[in-house]
Amino acid sequence: MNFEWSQDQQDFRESVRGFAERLDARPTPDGFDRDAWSACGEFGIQGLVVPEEHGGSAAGALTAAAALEALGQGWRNTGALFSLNAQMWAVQHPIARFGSDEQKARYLPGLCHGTLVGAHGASEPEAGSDVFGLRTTAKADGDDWVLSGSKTFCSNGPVADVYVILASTDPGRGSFGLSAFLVDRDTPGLVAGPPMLKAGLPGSPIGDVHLDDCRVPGSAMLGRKGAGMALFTSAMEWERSLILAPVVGAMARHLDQCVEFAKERRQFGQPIGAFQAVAHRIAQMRLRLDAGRLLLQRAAWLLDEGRPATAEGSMAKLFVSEAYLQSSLDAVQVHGGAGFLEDTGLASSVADALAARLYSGTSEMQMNVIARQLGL
Amino acid sequence: MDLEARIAAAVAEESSWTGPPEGLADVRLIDDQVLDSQSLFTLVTRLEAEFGISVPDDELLPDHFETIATIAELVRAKGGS
Repeated sequence: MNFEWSQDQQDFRESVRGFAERLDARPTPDGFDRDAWSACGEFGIQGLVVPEEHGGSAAGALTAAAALEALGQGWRNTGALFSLNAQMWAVQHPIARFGSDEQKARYLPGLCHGTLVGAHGASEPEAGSDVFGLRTTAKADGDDWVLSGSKTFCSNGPVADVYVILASTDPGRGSFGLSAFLVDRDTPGLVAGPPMLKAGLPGSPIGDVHLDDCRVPGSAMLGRKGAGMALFTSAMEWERSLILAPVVGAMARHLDQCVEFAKERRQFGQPIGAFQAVAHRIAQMRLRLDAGRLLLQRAAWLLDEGRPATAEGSMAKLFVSEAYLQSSLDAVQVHGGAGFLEDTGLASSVADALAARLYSGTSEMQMNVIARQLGL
Repeated sequence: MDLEARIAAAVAEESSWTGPPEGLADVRLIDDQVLDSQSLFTLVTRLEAEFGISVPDDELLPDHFETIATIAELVRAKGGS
């Protein structure tokens, strides 16, 4: 085993870190920073694992994990970081893996370069964790498909230019009757709702998407008829493996903040880091950071090797999200009252961490995946 | 036990099927709702372990799981034995 990064990877990670620190830290008032989105695209963030012929750099999952960690360490717009990942793993990945040559040529360059925003519409009011119980239908009409239904908690939904919509083309076949479609925002019958008011992840607009007799051509089907479950599970394997890479970066930043604060802040005549109650709390943060990073990097390595990472991705997602919440609470506590001030960015990370335990499958669903792989 | 029989035994144990494994030979596993998404994932995990194969998520296509015979084709194509 080799835990060293190559010099190229180290250099790239440093360049991402420098780029991240030049971005505006705070989300724009309207909730989505298109300038930052474009800048990320131009830098090469969205295209990290997309083949070069479609506008990406084909850097691989492990390098992407390192780059996204560096981005998360240097940039405090946690919502935008989430939005980027939502697009990369649940929109770009399915197009790159399942799309026709025409679909790849039409969508991937814009998505990679930041001129397009993509959203994935799977969840519905009655189909959250039980996503394959979705009710949106796609009925054949000549060469077209007509989509009807409602999606909810659609990340990037309010601002997206293109949607990957999961719908049933054969309700009698349950999850085997699901298919995916690429639907442009201006398609008649598609209505994107306003951003939901959330407790965290500012900068990431999330909303409903309604499909009312939304007609798309046959060429809009992404993958084969009935490939919806395969497409979704493949997307989730990548998403769960990598979506929290920026969170690992945030945890590293919080750790640095805590160490620095514990050395400088003096109480009872000595730095607070001299008190074991504080030092041990920070040591636990370091432990969670390293364990989470290693779990995530192992999942990324498996993806690069073309090996299954379903359970390992879920382990990374589960552990990092739970670690993020505990370490955010610890970081606030180490800082005392200062941890509750907006400038530290620590208290808001608690809300972001709550979301991390929910999106891309709740912690309970990740445990189901892990247990299933154990034959339970 | 031949490959089809071993697969039928696995499907019978991991799915909603309540009859003997031999009865699965002519059953449409998806249309007759013997397999659903949950039992499919469990079945695939078992097939991977029992036959030493790997079935990536992007190969979880209905075509591969329509019948015992199509699953056997998938396992053979991946060198399972």
